[in-house]
Amino acid sequence: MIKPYTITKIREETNDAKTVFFSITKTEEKPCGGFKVYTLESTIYVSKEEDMDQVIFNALEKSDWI
Amino acid sequence: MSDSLFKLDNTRVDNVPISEDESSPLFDKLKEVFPWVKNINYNGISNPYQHEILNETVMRTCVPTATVESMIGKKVASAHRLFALDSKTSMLYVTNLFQDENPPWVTDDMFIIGVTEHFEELNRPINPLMLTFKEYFFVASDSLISSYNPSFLENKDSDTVFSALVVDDEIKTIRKYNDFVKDGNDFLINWQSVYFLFAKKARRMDLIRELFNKDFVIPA
Repeated sequence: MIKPYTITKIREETNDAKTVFFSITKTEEKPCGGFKVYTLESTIYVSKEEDMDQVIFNALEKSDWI
Repeated sequence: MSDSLFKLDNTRVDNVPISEDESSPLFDKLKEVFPWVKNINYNGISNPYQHEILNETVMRTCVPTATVESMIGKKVASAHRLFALDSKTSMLYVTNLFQDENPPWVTDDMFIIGVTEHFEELNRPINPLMLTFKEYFFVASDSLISSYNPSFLENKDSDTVFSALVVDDEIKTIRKYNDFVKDGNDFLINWQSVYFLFAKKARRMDLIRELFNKDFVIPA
């Protein structure tokens, strides 16, 4: 199973929550030819009740990174 | 036009670059089944065709290699996503330089240049059959190709390669690819230049020597 993003670090927070550091890369074709590669490095707060992968995946899908 | 795939029954499947108008209706068709697909994340899409192993209608998209390399942590020669329209499943697959021992079905009159590696993706249902086969890209003597399909020799040029879909060390079918390397690249103009590049990167000059020792391989 592969994921479209890479988790680079997880920081434990109070109340069993986590701050997850991750990166994702996407490539877009430029109108005049060639490609531009974008890499996003970000963090997301995941509460105790939430599934870490689903939280990251949903956020990236909504923002067109996936 | 990017590559054209020819199945053993001579069905032709074109892979259309996203920059061509013809790609839009193909993406529309794909998104009827896979609404999460976004054109911008791909650089090519194929016509629908019947897959030889999956036995269902599929469409193949080209995924930019940089995107996939960040996901799997290694360099690849090419990357694609295969969508099975009937089962509503998909998989990501990459093509790597072939560096292993030859499988038992390889004969002296063929040379394997690449092989696929298949991946299940998070939140994307997969057809289990997608993980049961591999596609081996190869070059071969005309007599071997002719034994599978004589018409595969028509319009064969320096950018034609063949592939075998293999399950459990058994060849299930053979394909032909024309225009294997995308148009518009001044350096990578045929499969030999691509193979040379990746073999050199992998420090496998022995593979290049072995390739050109084959009498059916003529330097382009």
